[in-house]
Amino acid sequence: MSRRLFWLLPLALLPVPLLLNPYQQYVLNTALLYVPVGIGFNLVVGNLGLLAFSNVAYFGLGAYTSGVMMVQLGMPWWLTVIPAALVGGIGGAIASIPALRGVRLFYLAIMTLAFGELMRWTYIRWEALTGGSMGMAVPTATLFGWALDTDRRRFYAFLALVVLLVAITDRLLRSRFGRAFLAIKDNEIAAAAMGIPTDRYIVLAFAWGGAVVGVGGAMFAISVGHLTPVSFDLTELIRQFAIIMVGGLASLTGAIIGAVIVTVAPQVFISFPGFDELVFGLLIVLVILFLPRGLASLLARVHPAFVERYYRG
Amino acid sequence: MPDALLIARGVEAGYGSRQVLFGVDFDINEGEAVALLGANGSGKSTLLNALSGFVRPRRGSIRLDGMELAGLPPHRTFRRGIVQVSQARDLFPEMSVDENLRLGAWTKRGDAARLRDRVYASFPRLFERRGQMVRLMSGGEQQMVAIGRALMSEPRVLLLDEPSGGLAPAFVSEIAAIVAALKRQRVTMVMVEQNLRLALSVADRILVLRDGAVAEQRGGNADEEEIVRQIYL
Repeated sequence: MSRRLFWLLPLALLPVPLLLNPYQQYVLNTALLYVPVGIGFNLVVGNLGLLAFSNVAYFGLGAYTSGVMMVQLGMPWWLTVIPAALVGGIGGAIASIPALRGVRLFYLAIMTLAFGELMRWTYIRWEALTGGSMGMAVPTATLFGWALDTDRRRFYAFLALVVLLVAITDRLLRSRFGRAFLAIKDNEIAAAAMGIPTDRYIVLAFAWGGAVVGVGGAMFAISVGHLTPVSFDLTELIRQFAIIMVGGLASLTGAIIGAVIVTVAPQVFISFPGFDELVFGLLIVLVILFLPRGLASLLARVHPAFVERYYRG
Repeated sequence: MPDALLIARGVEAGYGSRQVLFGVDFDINEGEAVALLGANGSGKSTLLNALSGFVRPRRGSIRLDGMELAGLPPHRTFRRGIVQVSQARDLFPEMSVDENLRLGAWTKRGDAARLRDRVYASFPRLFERRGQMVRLMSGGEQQMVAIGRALMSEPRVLLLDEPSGGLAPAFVSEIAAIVAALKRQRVTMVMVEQNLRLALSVADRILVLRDGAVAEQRGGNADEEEIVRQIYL
């Protein structure tokens, strides 16, 4: 995405809450918090090209880190965002271990999937902290003493965070790191043969991806106000995977588009029970069939401002 | 006489339970072009992979300028200056010629533009196709990209694994010309090559591998027929 477009989009969003009812505002907030979730997932699957399916683990780690710190330590929400990123990032680094040992493709997919399920099991079992399967209520968030007690208020905090995360990730992908990710994705052996320490970059991609998703988790915690392990199950993983598949692999714009579509589309059909899932499933199939590089590739065809080629930067 | 640039002593290596190299010894001097010959399965490619770190030697020592390389991972041996152009060519298929070359200079930050200009000067054909995706190029052109990319890091020792392997005859002579040009620039080379004529035309010295060890060493002006006998009989 071109620089100008990147800054225009959030500016254009600033007055939007004035036009929305509280429910629509909640849906928009959900779409926003799924942007970092998609970005982090895409970093590993799209940019690095490794089939790691532990994204929900980082999401849950971020959400519970934020929630537990607010409940147990009485900390204000904004102070829990960086710890949520750290814990998500550590989760990412841990999930990269099988990849470092040379595990690839569906073997890696299954092992990382197991990590996500193990985390869900942990949320259920560690009742003292998480409230077990009954879940935990998350107190009202505050930002420098200012209560984020409405979806409209949370919207501006979320928007600021998302802009920051997109900007940093964009910088990362344009740098030497982004070129290393691409080289590893294209041909890992050749990347090592060119003197690129591939292990280090794999850990970095997982850790940064996990951190970004962890922040999304912290946003999720205060957006829903109640954390239960069932929010972090395989259905959630499929939703998150749909974000990057529909939006476009290895594309920041794709993660944004995917987050919006995957969040908003089911809401449109929510008054027709069962129909929403059908339409949603159909949408995914159509995109994969006709736009294997996602909706972002469609935008790139419409206007060159949407073209992302990080390794040229 | 000063010490050789690359010294191997008692190198043993293999894959899993299968040992391929049983104590390889050789010296390679700076600026020398050495051809590594041998029948199929004699360990030529394994030896190159052991030198570049893609196969970890089980025993023995490989020293470059007196520094031990045995056991280092490939990205570290690369940084020391041992660069392999492999049989599979190991290019970045989804990237352009230009991007492939730039990645070749990964360890030479800031120097990439100068090095690239130099590679383009010696490979005008690559300059013409610099924007083309490597996947869409012919085998011979890909081999040129692979050699060009290897030169981007200013290697101390260039390892060439069958540079003419699988190429059309027209390209074989072109690759032979490139290798000859590298030799004139006094690039230190170790080459595995099935095409004996090509190998003998550039090599200062020949090492014949048999059963995972050096069976014979001789000057580059050896008689072709005699070499064939050395390799196979």
